Formats: sequence, structure tokens, C-alpha cells
Amino acid sequence: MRGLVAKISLGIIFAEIFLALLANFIAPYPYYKVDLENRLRPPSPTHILGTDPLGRDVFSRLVYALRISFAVAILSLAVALLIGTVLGMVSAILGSVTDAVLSWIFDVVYAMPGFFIAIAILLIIGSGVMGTAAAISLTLTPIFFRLSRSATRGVLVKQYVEVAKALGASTLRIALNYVGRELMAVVIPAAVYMLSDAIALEATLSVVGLGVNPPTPSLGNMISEYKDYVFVAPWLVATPIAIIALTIASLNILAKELDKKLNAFLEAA
Amino acid sequence: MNRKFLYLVILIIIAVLASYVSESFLTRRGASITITVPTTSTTVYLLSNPMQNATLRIALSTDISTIDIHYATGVADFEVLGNVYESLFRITYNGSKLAYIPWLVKEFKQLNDTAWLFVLRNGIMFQNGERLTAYDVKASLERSMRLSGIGKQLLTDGKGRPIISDIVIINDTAFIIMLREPFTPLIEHLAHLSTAIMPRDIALKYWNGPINSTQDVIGTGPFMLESYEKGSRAVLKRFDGYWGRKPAIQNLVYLILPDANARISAILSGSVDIATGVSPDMVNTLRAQGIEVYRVTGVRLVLVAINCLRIPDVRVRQALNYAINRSAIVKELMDGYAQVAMGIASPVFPGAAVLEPYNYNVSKARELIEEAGFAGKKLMLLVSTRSPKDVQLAQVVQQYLKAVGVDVEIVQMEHTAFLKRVFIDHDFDLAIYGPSPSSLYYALTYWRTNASLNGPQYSNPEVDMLLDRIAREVNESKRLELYRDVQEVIWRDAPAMWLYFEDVVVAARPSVKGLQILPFQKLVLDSVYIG
Amino acid sequence: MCILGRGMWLHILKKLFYVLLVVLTTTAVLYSVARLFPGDPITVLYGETAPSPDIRKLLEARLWLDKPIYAQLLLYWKRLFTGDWGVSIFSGEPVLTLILRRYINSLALALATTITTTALCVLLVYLSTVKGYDKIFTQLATVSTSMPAVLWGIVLMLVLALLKMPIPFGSIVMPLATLTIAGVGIFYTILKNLIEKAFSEPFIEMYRAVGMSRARLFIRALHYAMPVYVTAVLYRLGLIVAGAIATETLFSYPGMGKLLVDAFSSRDYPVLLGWSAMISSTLALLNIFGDLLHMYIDPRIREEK
Repeated sequence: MRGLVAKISLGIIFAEIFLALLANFIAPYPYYKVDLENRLRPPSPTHILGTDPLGRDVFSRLVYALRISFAVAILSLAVALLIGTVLGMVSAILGSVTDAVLSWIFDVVYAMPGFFIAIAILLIIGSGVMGTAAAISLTLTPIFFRLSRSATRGVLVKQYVEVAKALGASTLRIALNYVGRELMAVVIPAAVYMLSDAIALEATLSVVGLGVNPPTPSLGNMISEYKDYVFVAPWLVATPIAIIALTIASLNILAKELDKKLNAFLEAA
Repeated sequence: MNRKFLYLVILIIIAVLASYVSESFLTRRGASITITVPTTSTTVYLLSNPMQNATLRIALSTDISTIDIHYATGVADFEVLGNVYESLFRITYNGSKLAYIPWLVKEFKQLNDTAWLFVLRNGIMFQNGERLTAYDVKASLERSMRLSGIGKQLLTDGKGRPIISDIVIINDTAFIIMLREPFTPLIEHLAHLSTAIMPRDIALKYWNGPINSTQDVIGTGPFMLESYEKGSRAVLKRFDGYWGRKPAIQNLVYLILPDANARISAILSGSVDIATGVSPDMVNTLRAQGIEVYRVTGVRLVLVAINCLRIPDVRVRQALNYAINRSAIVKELMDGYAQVAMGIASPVFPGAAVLEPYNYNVSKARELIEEAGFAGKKLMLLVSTRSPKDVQLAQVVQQYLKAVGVDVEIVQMEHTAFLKRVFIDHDFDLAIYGPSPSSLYYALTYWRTNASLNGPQYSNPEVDMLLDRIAREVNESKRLELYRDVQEVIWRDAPAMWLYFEDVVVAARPSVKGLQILPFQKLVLDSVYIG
Repeated sequence: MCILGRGMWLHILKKLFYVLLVVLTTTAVLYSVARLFPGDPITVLYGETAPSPDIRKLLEARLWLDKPIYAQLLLYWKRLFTGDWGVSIFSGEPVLTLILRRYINSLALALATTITTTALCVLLVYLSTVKGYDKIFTQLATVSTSMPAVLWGIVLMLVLALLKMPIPFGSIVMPLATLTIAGVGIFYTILKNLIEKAFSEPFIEMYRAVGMSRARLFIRALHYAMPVYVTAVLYRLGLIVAGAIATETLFSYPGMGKLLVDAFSSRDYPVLLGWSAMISSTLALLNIFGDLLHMYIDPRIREEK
């Protein structure tokens, strides 16, 4: 029974990734093709999900939006994970000044409202896919930093590390052997949970207008644009909302499963 | 458990599907009822209104940015503060053209080319109990010329010098405005709310900066500002000492609801009585639910400014104009609630010229672009996030320009950053915005060399010279000729892609009677009552 | 059992110093970003038009815009500590009163959300563990976490709009409902795990052996789980005070989030500075308080100190 839910979630995610990767081939129309005479049409054989306020095919836009949303989420997550984890580990191992400075920097970043981080990035990098990814990265990095720092510290005070040090193992060796394993156990499940957060963040940014530039579609900016038409074309906004909800829910379910499996694996090891 | 999860999934799917099929239940193509806007004649104000203790609630789409009328720039500012302040003259609309009538002024006479005599009405009181005198007028006009961005635009000549050289006070109610040179648009410009009259003490108190206390928001208008909560509402109360026809409404509440759905659902559910900023797509839905929709030809010219320093070749600019199918945009995107731009100034202005249209002609556009060697160039189109309709328009323009070989990248910007980029830094290729001038002359001053509203940095000495001549030309028919000439020049020089004049669309519940609308998105609440 | 010994006070002092450092840094960064972002209050005042150069100079001097950024920052910091937070450029209201007002509103929202969410969670966990309706609630929790708060807000608004019901903008009801719906999932999971862990503790076995009813067992477990739950909730509280930006803006709720957006778009620098000082100190203090609470609860960590 548990298995069925997880399987459905996995299926949903795979389907979305499939659509996202093959967007070019699957989309029947270009996502930017404006067709003023066919605005706001309900679903029909020529337009499976109908047309948007500029006459563009909603299905095509959706498929591209999946690609953009996933790309941005995965990219920003990867960057946040790498930078945050490495810095957290370094900070915990080197200790004293380095640790103090790095902790301070990340505490400041953590204390900044997401809105401001987005504004700051907008200033430096500009709007668009890169800017959005950078903003999300910056928001998520402190979490990985904290996680890996406390995990590393936890390992470093354990007895066996003292023993290894006494036996003359270099710091690097300690890092790679003991810390690395512990980090993976902690960081990877967190990362999978964070993926859904990244998708949610992209949606939030787009809804307030700080996301990708038009005409590039993203789940968030489709919702933001189509919600104004809920009285004349409610199907328009319902679709991206349903997709986001399904995606995030599926990712969360998968994260839990992975967490359980990973714990079981580590117990056994 | 299996089942319960399945039920949940099925529920979600049903909800989504329901939204797909609900389209037919939501909009009934009702019969099209157009509300014709009644005329506002000057004698009407003498009749009295049925006095009520009613509250009128109005939903606005943008926040007001200041409580100082001389600093008002946005539609919301003028809408709210326009109930508190009045100018020497007033702009009215008779259904086809604008007119400028004496308001605080009882009579006026032109003494000679450069001197005008004005006599104020008797018995006009400010909301703080003081009487209106010529001293207040002098202080207000001087403050407006000194501090107000629009005031300065209205009352300066081509070289940036104030056209008013002095205001001579004869007695409490009479004064003479001395001009540096003849200035024919004087009366029209004294009707703009940016030259509104405030008490002399307050003008002097805030001689160097904006009014920032609601206690000092004192005018001669029918309503007083009672409270203002930034970003959410402004509350006004009827001024019982008002010199003119006292409004039937006792309380005026402006609610700031930037979200379009918020405004629609507010008016449908009765939380507000009037909603501004109604999208043309909503009109049928509203009518089907019994809400009345008013429309009026607007003054707002939606255009795509073309940076004349970066694209100096007029052939390219004209090509860009030929590349757009305006009628399609007006018919489909605006649902017919706009007028294709046939000139630079809205048809509601007396003297607005109808010029030779830039018909949709893709091949001609291509030809011109090839000729100018501009094919394959990439341009940046800036648009402010404040208006979702503008953002949509940007995407439509992008498509049209692509079809003639010009690649456009859209960059959407936060509003203030957009203003800086376009009007101060002039750092753009193309930019979408829509000026809302109050008079024909003012509409044309946008295109003066180095004018502050001249985003594209267009410069044509012929235009500057013609505008100067117009200001000095006392003969009316000659002046109209000159107006036509200058509009033709600007039209042909194409410092912008002239798109359309947006209609003003306002929704009101059927209980609201006597509502009138001005073409610059201003509600006229003089005769409104709830019935 | 006095845990506030000498060492403790020194520790707290060190932490407070750190808070100060974080506050100063955050305000510096926030202010710099706001200043560097194109457009200033004068642009906001004048819109598409422009003031004459001498008027611009006057205004700039009044607003300290003629000084370089670091100089203005130092001036503001000085004023921050003397309690003179200046006035809002546009409404003229003293920044301190403005921010306090908004802060109280946001605090009210955060507390109300915590109460409703917790109440709801306790009920749901009770039904789930004691009565056994586990699976359905887990699914509901999943649904709750499937969308960020702002999307739940939009859904709520759309549903009300379609039903033609009046939406009370400016009232606490809408953001409260939105944040509760969005937050229930997470807290349900946390509380449920805690209760289950509590149930596996030996003292519960003891009570069960004595024959206590399941309901009362639940209440005991709740007592046991509360401290850790509170710690988890505490930080989230701070996040709502500072961060329910999109939700507050959506429903025009006059809290800190909306203040940030409004102040930023009108480039009201004094308000932005006061805002960041207030929020960063709140978050940092909450952090510390959470740390202390954690230490108090978990004797093992205390021993380490």
C-alpha cells in the first residue's frame, strides 16, 4: 500500500521529467506563438488544454514550463548543495576564525527575507532563468551549510576520530572517510526534500513577478498571469496549480521514502 | 487506505475537470448595453443633490504615491486627491470632446497679450475654515511651478523658463497673471489638478518638499481627507462648507486592491460599489451578473517608445510602426475597448488631428528595414511590471517584430526602476508606457527636445519651433493649423510605435446613480447618489 | 535546579553580541542593496517628470541622498541606537510607530496561526493516534505541504471569488486561513512523530499497565512532547513575522511583509532600515531563545557545556 503511493509519485515525476526533456518534440506549438484571434479558447482537439489570453497553446507552454521549473530547481539545488555542504564541512573542520566568519555570513543570509535576496540578485545578475536560479540557490545554501556543519561537528567529536587522529591520519583523510559518509546520510535526504522547496520557491518568485522573463513560461508565472482570467477561463489557472501541487506532493513522498530507505541502509552498514 | 488516497486523487481530478467544463456556465453573452456618459454642463451644479449619509466605496488598482496634490503623478493620486482639491478651472467632458470651464474663478478676461485678469468666486472656503483669497492662489501656483514636476511642464516655455513672470494681487478676489510671452494654453493648463489651490500657510510651510501630514491636506473640494493607510485605503468625508453643489455621498472610501480578481469579486459581492481598472475581458462576465459597465474614450496613448539616439534612422522607426497590426490588437486583445491610434493625441482633445494611418504592412516594413540595413538586429524591450496588460502587449509586439526580422528581448522591470531607466538614464531600445496628458498642448510637450517626459530623447527643432509659435498664436484658426502641422511632423518622425488609445472602463453596481467618467480615468462624483 | 549560572550569563552575553553583529550586517546589506537598486525616492515622487536641478538638490540634502552610502549608513546606525528612527519619506509618520504597528500586526498573525495550526494538529493527531484515522490525515498533510503559502492564498481567493463571496481584504482572517492551511501539514507530521516517540517511552508503558485510558495517555504524551514541539514552532513563528510577504501582499494585510514591499517600491529608506533592524534582531533573538530552550530540554547538551 505504501508502495503504491510511492510508485504513483515516482510515476508522476518521471512523466514530468520525460515531458520536460522532450518538450521540443512533444509540444505541438511554439510556446511563444501569439494568436490573437484564438484567445481564451476552452480545450479542444486542436488545443488539448485550450489557449491562453494571448492565444498561445497552453499544453505547449505547460510542457516548456515544466522544463524551466525543473531546470531552475535542479540547477539551484545542485549549486546550493555543493557550496553549502563543502563550506559547512570546511567551516567545521577548520574551526575558530574561519568558522566564525562563515557562520556569520550565512546567518546574515539566512536572516534576509527571500524578497530581498531576490532583489539583490536582480540587481547583480538581472532577471531571467539565471537570476532566478541564483536567487533560489542563495536562499537554500545556508540550510545546507548549517546541516553539514553540525553533522561534521557531530562526527568530529566522536571517539573514533580521536583514535584516527592519534594514529596519524591526515585531516583530509578524516574528512573524506568519516565525515563524508555521515554527510551523505544527512544531506541527500535533505536535498530531496529541498527539491520540492526549490520548485515552490520558483513558483513564489514568479507569482510576485521576480522570476523568468516573458514570454518564457514557468509554472509560477503561468499561475500569476492566468489567475486574472478565472472568471472567464478557470481551466487556465487550474492546470498549473494542479501540476505544481502534484509535483511538490510527489517529491515530498519520494523524499520520505528515500529517507526511510537510506536509514535502513545505514543501519545495516 | 489505498482507496482513500485514490478518492483524494479522483477528487482533485474532478475539481480540475470541473473548471474546464464550467466555462459555459460562467459567461452569458448578454445583450450589449452601452451606458452613454451624460454631459456635465456648468449650470447643473446649481441644482442640489438628495443628501444622504451614504458611503461610497471605490476599488482602485494602484496605490496613491503621495498626499500632496502638487506631487501627484499617478491616476490614483488624482482620483483620490481630486476630491479634496480644485483648480482655477475644471476639465469636463461632453461625450465627445473635453472642455475647460471656469471653476474657482468667477470670470476672467484677457487684458492684453501677456496679462490675464481673474476674479475668484465669493464665499469659497477651505476645509480648515479659511476663506479662499488671491493670496492663496498666488502661493499655490508659485509652489506648483517650483516643486511640481507636472506643474513645471505645464507652466514653462520651450527653454524651461516659467511662463508666468508674476502674479499681481489686486484684492482678495482679483489677481492678474503676467506672462513672459503670450501663452495660449494657459486656461487649459490652469485646469490641471497639478496647479490646484491650497491655503497659503500650507504652501509656505511645505515650500521645499512634499506635504507629509494628513492634517495639512486642505483644499476647497467637496470632500476632506480623513485618513490614509498606505497601501490599503483612503477615507474621505463630505465637507459641509463646500461652495458648490454638496455631494449626496457622506463618506468616500477608496480601497486599494491591486489584484484584478480582488476588484472583480469585491464588486460582485458588493464589498465595493465602484471598481476601476476593469479589464475588457471581464465586461461580459460583469454585465451578466447585473453590474453596469461604463466606458469612455481615454486619453492614455499606449505606445512603444523608440530610443531615437540608438535608432536614429527614421525609416526603421516607421518600419516598426508598419509592422504592427493595431486593429487586431484593439479588436482581440482589448476586446474593442480601445481606439486605434490615428494621431498623437486622443480624439477627445479639441484640435487633435487625424493623420494618415500606419496600416499593417509587413512587406513595407521589411523593405524599409532592409533598406536601412537593420535586418537581424536585436533590440531590448522594457516593460514595467505594474500593468499586466502592458506585459502582455510586450509579448504581442515581440511577435510582430519578429515577423519583420527584428529580434526583441523582453525585460520586465519593477516600476520605479523602469521609470529611472527610461526617463532619467534613457537606457533602452524600446519601452512600453502610456502617457495620460490633460490637454493637447501638454500632450505635445512630451516631444520637445530635452523635455523630462521625452523618454526616447526625440529632438526636432521644427517641432520645438512650432510649439513655441502655437503658444504665441492668438488667432484660433491659425493655431489649429499649426497644431495639425506639428502633429504631422511628430507622427511621421515616429519616435514611438503609436498603438492605441485605451478606453476607460469602470464597473458600478446598479444602485450607483449619476456617475460620470472623465477620459483620464477620473470619476466625477458630483451627482452620484445611491438609489 | 538553577541553570542560569555564571557560565550561562557569559554565554548569553556572547550570543547577544553576536546578535548585534548580525543586525548591523543585515541592515548594512539590506540598505546597500536598496540604495543600489535603480530609482530613488525622488524618482518615485516625480514619476515620469523631473524636478529642476536646484529642487532636486534640496530634496537630496533633506533625504541624505547627497552623501555616499556608507556615510548614510553610519548616520542611520547612530540614529537607530538613540531611538530616533526618522520619519517615513511619504507619509511623514515616525518610522518607529509605523513599524511597531505593523510588527504587532504580524506578531498577531504569527501567534494566531500558531494557535490555530497547533489546535488543529492536536485534534488531528489525537484522532490519528487514539482513534486510528491515521492514513487519511497523512494524505491531508501531504496535500497541505503540496503548495507554498502564496499559492494556497491564491487558491483561497479564487474559490471565494468564484463563489462571489466578499473577500475581507485587510483583515487577519484571510492570511490566517492561508497560513494555517499551508502549515498544518508540516506541524502535523512533527507532532505525530513526537507523540509516537513519546508513546514508546517507558513511562507511558507504566501508565498503560496501570490502566489509564488512551485519551489520558495522549494528554501525558502531549505534555512530554510539548517542549520540543515549541522549539520547532518557535523559529517558524519568526519566519511568519518576517516572511509572510507574499501572503500579506495578496490580502493587503498591514503587517511587516507588506510594509517591506511598499517601502521598497517607494524607496522609503528610513522605513527599510528600521524594518531590517527590527526583523533581523527578532530572528536572531528567536534563534538564541530556541538554542537556550533546546539546551534546557536536552540535559545531554547541557552537560557538555
